[in-house]
Amino acid sequence: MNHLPQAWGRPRDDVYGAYDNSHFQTAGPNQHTQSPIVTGTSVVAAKFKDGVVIASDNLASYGSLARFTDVKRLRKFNENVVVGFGGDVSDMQYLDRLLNSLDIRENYASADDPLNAKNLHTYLAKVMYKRRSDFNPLWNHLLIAGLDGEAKPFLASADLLGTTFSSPTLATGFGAHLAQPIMRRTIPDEASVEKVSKDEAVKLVKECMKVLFYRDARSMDKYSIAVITKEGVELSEDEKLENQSWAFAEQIRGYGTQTA
Amino acid sequence: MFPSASKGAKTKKHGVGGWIQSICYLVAAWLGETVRPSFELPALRQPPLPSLDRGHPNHSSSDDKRPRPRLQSTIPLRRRSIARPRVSPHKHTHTSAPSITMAGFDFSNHNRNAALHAQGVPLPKATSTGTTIVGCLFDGGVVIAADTRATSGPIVADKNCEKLHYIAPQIWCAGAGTAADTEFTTAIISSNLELHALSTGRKPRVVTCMTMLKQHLFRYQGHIGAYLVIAGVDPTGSHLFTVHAHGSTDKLPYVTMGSGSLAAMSVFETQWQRNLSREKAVELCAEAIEAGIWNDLGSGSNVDVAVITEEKTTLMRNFRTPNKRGAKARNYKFERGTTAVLNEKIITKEEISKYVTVHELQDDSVTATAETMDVDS
Amino acid sequence: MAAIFSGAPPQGGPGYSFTQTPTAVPSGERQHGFYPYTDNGGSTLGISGADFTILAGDTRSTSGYNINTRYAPKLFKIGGEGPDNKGARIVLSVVGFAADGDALKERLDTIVKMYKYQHGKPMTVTACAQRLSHILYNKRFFPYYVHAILGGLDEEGKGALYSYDPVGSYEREQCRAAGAASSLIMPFLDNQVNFKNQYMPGSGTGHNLKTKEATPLSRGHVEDLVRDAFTSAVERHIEVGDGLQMMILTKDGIQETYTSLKKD
Repeated sequence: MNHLPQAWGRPRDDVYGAYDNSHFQTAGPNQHTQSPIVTGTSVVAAKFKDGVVIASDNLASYGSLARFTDVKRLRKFNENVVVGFGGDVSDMQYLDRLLNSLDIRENYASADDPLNAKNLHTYLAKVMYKRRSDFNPLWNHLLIAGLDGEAKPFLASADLLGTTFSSPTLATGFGAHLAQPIMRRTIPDEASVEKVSKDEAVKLVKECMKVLFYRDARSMDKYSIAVITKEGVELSEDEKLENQSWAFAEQIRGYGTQTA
Repeated sequence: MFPSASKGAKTKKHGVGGWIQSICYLVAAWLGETVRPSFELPALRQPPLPSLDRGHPNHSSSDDKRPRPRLQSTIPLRRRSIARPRVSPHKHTHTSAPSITMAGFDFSNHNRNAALHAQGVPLPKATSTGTTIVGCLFDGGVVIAADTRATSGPIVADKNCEKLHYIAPQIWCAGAGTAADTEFTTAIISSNLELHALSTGRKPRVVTCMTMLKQHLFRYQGHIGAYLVIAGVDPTGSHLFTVHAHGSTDKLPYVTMGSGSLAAMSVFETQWQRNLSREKAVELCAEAIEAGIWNDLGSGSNVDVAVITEEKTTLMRNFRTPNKRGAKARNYKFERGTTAVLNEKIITKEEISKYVTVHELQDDSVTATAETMDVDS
Repeated sequence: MAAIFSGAPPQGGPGYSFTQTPTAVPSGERQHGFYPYTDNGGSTLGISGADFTILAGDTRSTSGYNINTRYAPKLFKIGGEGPDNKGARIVLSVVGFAADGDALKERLDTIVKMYKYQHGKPMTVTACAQRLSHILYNKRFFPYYVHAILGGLDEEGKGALYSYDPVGSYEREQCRAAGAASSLIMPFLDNQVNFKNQYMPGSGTGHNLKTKEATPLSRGHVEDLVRDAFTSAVERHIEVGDGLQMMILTKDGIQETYTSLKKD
């Protein structure tokens, strides 16, 4: 056996030929996120007349492996704002640290006029756009939910390219395909936000989480949900999906000609 | 047997060379493909063109920001009704190809196309398909529905096309995928199923149709890009299937396909329940299509529905029309004489009568039109 | 060749040691799995008249076959007072990659505001137009992926409209359509605003037929053309729809309107 640690655990050169060392990229140029590794799936959110509901499941996937099953992807910033993270988890944790230092800096001078959701969205959008312009993106899609400077419901998104937009309902990832159609049926425009109560909005978002669990292979049935109103943030981090329906399954027999 | 192999003009093909070539033709013919001269034969065993960046009808996540292989070309094909234009045929100068008509596709241009592509000639773009199609079983029958938008790239090619295809009186098919493929695949299976029904003297069964489709599609390994929802009622009951281009099938009480499949599925997953009535099933399918119309850019315009029961099939063309065009603010009728006329030639009725039959119309207000078109008043 | 540079010690030679461990990445181009642009769809258009300029854009934002939101404005007032740009006299419309569009808008807005603070007078459209061209060209090799149209009134009070390519080439024009449905709208505008391919009936025969000369159109007429251009683009382009935002610039300021468009 070769006594040199560098060769341990590798295919023997004399048997398999020279080892491809291009994997050793220790002291090369800075490495940027070229693709996400550990990822979180959808975040869904909807405005209602007094505030915003936001939810995301507690799963962090490693490719198709359900790797971490207790990862909280909603982050309360203060009593006005919650940020939901989709995409790379390590980049999410970096942003978490960034928001911590921002919060400390903001509160150091005075805590009278805390940052509102609109402020935070502007900040995060600029961080994301700066990083994409440096070709070093933060591989996330964020939803920023809370109240704006006039204490009105605020919901907007920022993604890895720095693209921003706002809508009465928003969803990232798979949710953009599956949850948005559900939510848009109830809350199609800004005017209809006024007609939706907190309970209705929570029910709607929970329904979306259920459909996402049915159809998104990178999702799970444990999730976090937050409601942001003038009263502050109600964040619950270990909800479980309720009233699932698998009624369609009982009559299925095979996939084609089978009948029994 | 192989007429062109001994075609008069080419005198070289005598002796051993010609004999070998004939053998090659035999081999190639056995392979089931149209044949080219022997020195091109290796090409015949190569796989056909790789699948292009044909927007998979079952969605590729738009959040996936990783760059894709840049294979898009500049020729957007129409989503439906129009056959896929081939690269203009390249004439081989050395010989005329044997004209053996064999079943199946002609892959003889593959080598040339691959070489052209390597030189940077863009490949013709396979049709990107925006569609929402759904199906749902109910007590006593089955419903299928589709939107009516046909696209060519980001352009709407047809605002009110038909995506529900006839297979048999009580078997219908909704199609997503490459336009021509859905059209021709359903047509050929419809034809074969009719012959089958005639030969057996029985009503065609939905499983038969499904099996024929999956075997046809599997044989072509996904190169026929037809994604179908099959629904029908036969003596064994009502059935609903999906068939994917590669030949896999599914049998479920409610199904969706196309780029709007997720939007449509969100409706089923929130509102479907077992033992639906006919009315409820129709409404549910229409709602699902509408979810696609509003939320998926590839789908739009109207909702078509077909209800199949033991008694009959009811095709409800434009069951919902939620996208009527509003009135234009201005009138764009040009004054007569606005367009420049550089020269004119008058052909009399007598002259034209030499070539066509001319009928005098009785009433001035009646115009003989084969097809009508919307024209500004 | 690859084996020579693989970094592994030659067969039969001395084995690995820490100092011999290859550290540098292989030379050659660095590969990036990240593409910094996207297309958010939508269309904009601008028409200038004798004493007004109209800019318009749809409010749909798309990514792929998805609608991000049905209300994302593409028209921005530039250089007014405060965050709402009160009293602004210049409007910028951007279509293409929305994040670059927003960044460009912020930069131009800041510059025009700073100009007013530093010089005590508002920036003219002519100056603003050239400045915008410079901003765009400054990022020649990592461009703002947008088609911009700038509108205002010139020093004589006439409608002024400037259109740009992504790297800063610009031109003053009567009318311009940009974005996803520009190829659908522009020919319509050529025909209806500049009367291209229109002749005066009965003014001659063959080549002697007189062309219909372009004359400044009334404001109501232009507003109708804009509306028809967009309702028609919505019919035939999947990325255009949801809402129509219009800004009408006159000597009295900017009037903003919103009308809804089809949402399919």
